[in-house]
Amino acid sequence: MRAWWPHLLLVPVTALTLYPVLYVVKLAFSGTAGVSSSPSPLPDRFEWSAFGKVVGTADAQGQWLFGHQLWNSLAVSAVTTLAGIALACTAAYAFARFEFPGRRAGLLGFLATQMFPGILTLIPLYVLIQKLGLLDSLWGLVLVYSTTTIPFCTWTLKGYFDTLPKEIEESAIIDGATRLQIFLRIILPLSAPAIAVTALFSFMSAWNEFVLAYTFLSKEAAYTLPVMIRGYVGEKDVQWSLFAASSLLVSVPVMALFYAAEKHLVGGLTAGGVKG
Amino acid sequence: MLAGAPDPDPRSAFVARWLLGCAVAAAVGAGLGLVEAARVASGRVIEATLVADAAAHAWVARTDDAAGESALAHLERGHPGVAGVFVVAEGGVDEFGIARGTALTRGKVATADARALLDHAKRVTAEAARSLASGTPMDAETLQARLPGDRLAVAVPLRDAKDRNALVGVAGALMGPTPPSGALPAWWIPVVVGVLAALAAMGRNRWRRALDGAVAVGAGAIWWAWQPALPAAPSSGVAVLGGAMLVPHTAPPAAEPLTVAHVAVAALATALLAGWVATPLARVFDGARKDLVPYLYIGPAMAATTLLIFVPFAVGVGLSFVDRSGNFVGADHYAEVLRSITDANSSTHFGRTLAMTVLWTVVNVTLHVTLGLGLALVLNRPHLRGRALYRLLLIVPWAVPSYITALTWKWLFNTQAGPLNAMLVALGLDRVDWLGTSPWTNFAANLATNVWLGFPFMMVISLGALQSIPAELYEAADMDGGSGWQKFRHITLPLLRPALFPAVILGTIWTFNAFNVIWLVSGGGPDHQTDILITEAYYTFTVLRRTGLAAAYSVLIFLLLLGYTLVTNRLTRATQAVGA
Repeated sequence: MRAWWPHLLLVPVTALTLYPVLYVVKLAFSGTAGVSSSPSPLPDRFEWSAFGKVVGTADAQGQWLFGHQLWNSLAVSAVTTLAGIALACTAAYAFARFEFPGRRAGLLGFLATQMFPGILTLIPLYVLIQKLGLLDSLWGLVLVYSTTTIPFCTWTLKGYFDTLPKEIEESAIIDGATRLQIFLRIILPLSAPAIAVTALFSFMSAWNEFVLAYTFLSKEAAYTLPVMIRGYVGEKDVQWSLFAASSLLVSVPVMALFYAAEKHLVGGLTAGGVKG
Repeated sequence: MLAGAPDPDPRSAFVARWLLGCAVAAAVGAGLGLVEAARVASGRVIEATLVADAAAHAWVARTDDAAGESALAHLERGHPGVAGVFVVAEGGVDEFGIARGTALTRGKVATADARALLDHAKRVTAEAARSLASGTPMDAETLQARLPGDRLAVAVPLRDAKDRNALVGVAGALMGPTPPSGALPAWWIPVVVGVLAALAAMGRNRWRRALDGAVAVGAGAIWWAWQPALPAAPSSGVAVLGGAMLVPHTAPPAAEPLTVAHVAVAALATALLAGWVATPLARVFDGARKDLVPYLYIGPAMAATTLLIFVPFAVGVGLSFVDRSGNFVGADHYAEVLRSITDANSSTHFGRTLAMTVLWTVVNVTLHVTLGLGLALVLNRPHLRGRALYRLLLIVPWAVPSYITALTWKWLFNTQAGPLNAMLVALGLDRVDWLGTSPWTNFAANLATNVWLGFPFMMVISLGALQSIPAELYEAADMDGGSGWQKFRHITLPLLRPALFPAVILGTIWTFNAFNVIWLVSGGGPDHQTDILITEAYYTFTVLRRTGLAAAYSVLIFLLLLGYTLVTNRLTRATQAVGA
């Protein structure tokens, strides 16, 4: 008793969903000569020249811009993830396992940060980063990105730590383990999957962040990839095929990561919400 | 916090109150000191400008050099805070045909300062020539020069009586070091109020602390009332001379004098803070003395977030009370934002933008939930072939970075080359200028982008929740002869609600702050009509450069979101209680 009508609904919706994505693929392969404006999302030719142009971009001094920007994005995202996760793990463990005065206030405070409009903290941060002379530097972004991901990562990891049975730790204490040993030798290895997913999330949000990077960075060699892509769609000069090619280059790896972690991501997001 | 929590250890309580007291005293002292310093500094600039204006007047009205000289000496005697009055005259040519150059010709100015004053006169004259050529008034800032030894010179440029585009020099006043102001030195107020506030914070219970806080407020108000008045700022820099002989310049900004009301509000806030924070803080100290380990674990994360999220947040809130030159303006920025609800000519459009934001959020979330839930219901049908593939393809929009989505849709809606218009043309219809002058087509473009972007999240959440509903429930309903609609209404919906509710709250907050979509697709256009609150605040900060106004705007956004979350949190709890 397989019904056929769901497909009548699902096929058009899926086609509509994929249309913009397919169109970007078509644009990316249409070369640098000019883009056709036919509504069909299927590629009419396969030229790699747009990719070549994006990857080969150099500035007036002959610096390899794409290489710089790729390195910027990678470095910022990686350092952000490492720093954010290291701090979030310990905090989440304390919130999950210890009962101490100030715990509730701390948890609620972390939750409240998710409601702060980015622009309000952006203003003083801009002044601070400017005063520190970090406006066109990657350290400014790392500093800001990693702290803004800490509350979210802490909540997600705390949700996971809460599900680990306490009996394991109790028996370890009987065997004479210290609390630091328990944390490093038992809790961390047990929650490796959750930590990996949280790290992926942290990496992706840094990799995809646009507004702060756009505000803080003014030199092309200091750009991260999102700011570079925005540059192809300027007010005066729009290069859609270059935009499409660079978008594919930037989003394909991050989409792969997303699909790898997606199942767990949903669980983490809603677990925080339900318990909050 | 908790009603039945035990009282903290008296020693911890004392340490907490003592630390809070010190913090409050330091904050009150530093805050009042800064405001008072700003007031005194601005009073000095105003007095110097007034004297400089008077000197220019005296010099222009003189009958001969001796009369001018005596008028300047008279001015000096009348203003004890002024160290010297001077006139720098452009030379012209002497009777032997030799260019005289610029010279400091009049005034009781020490020779050591003559060099600095001549340099300043040169800069002011150059600026004045530029301003005469462009027809814009000079900025009051350019008239001022700081001299070593905490001294200040203000010089106003003079025009030639015949050729009004030529400059003949400057007249100015040199202020000595800042004198201790009036009856009581300026630092007394902060110190006294600070100490009183500290004592208030150390009271034994919160009501006692609030009462002592009120006493501190009263003391601050009384000290304040005793402060000497400072000269008022002229409404225009050329008011004294009527503008005929002076190069037009803006009036020096007056620092808003700290009124009793400001002191009252600030001190009351600190007293309340001291009253309601002391006991929880004491509990934390208690806890740390019993067991330090948890605090070591959260310490680094807390320190980082405090430094880079909470402190900037507090500074941002503070900035909303301060104007561009650092003067305290009270709630003016908030008043300006709220006034813009009715005033169509103001630089922000809070009322219109708020209405747009609410419309935007409601329409988006409704479509997200309808589409997401509908698709989830179809996908959840038993024996559906290709379910995994459909799911995989339908969540593609979630995987794509949102700024790329937004820019892609901007392309799809492109008037000339965009495929959407190409489709319309193929169907024999006219092109639509989607991102042009109509707010509704712009809104439609934003909406299409964000619906595409957001429905997969709701679909995945709904699908997960649907799959966790035990099949036995439906089987039982089938046995009782329940219809499809009855099953949906009485089994599916109630069991979906606990999962869907937080997702809707989360989705609402995301949509409310969907900066990338609005900023990159319609850019808020035309004429800011499709802006939502967050994009207008960003515009106010980055394009208008009105930091204080943007901060006030953002605080209002935060309060709206906070209110929304608190209300929905209540609702969630209520529904969970009913469901349980």
